[in-house]
Amino acid sequence: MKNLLGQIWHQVVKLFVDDGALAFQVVLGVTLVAAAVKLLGIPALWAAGLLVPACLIILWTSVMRAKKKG
Amino acid sequence: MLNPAAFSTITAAFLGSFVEVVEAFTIVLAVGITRSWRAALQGTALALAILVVTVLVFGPLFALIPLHLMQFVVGVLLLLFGMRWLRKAILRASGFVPLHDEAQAFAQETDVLKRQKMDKRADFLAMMAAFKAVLLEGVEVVFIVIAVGTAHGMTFYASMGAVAAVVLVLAVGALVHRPLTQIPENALKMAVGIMLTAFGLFWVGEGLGADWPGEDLILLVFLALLGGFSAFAIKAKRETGGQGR
Repeated sequence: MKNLLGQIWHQVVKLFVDDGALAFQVVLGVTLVAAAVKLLGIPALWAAGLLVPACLIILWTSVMRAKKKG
Repeated sequence: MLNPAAFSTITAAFLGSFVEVVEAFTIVLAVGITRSWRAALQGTALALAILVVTVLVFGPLFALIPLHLMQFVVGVLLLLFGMRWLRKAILRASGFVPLHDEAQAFAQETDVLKRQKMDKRADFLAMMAAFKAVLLEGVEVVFIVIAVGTAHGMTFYASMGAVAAVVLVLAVGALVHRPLTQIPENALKMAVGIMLTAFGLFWVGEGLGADWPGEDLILLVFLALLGGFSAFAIKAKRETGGQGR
């Protein structure tokens, strides 16, 4: 039972985190954008718009960094 | 006539659930054919019951969360989930990671079940194999339905997409009675990854209070952008040494 719960928890974490660096950078990017809106008063649309290229750069970096498997 | 958001919701839920249900079906089929259909169906029923209870217990709690906060949180989770799927699909398409092989998964599960044949608990172990497969893949289906549906009150549409996926896999599976190896799983994963990432960007923006130009139609721009990006990334990755398939 403990093993099964562990597997379920592992599966839930795996839903969101595969490449740890990618997950960290996405969370960091979203946090910075949210902080820019809430603390610096930057218009939400500009900040959200910035997130689009930021996510593409993060994904590109993660894909290019990946090593071959199998 | 469905608006773009409703259409995208149903499509994302359907495709995402379809991939997961195919994977669960492979294991249930292996249990049914190798050990017994009774064990396969008991395991499946038990897992489905737990998933339904989980949704019924936790589902209503989402209504208590303020809308903008929920949109923001769901958006972040969709970004993490969608970009993870998209990354893996790009790496698989470029040959850097082997494609998921349902025939191999079926053979592995069958082999394990055959080795457990003399075990006194063989029926129980077979039932647990089906139970775990349905529960673990089901958790992903539940997340997909909640994530693509909750933030804009379209859980019903998302559920319909998931139910359609289950019905289709069961219908085709019952007809062919073997693992669904012909499904272009990686292409589906890439499509879902693109859709969920687009939804993620949209909902994070909405959660922050942004009024996207064109409202829901901005999703089409995100889909086109992410689709073009993925094609370019696959090409670039292949040129750096992937085998490509």
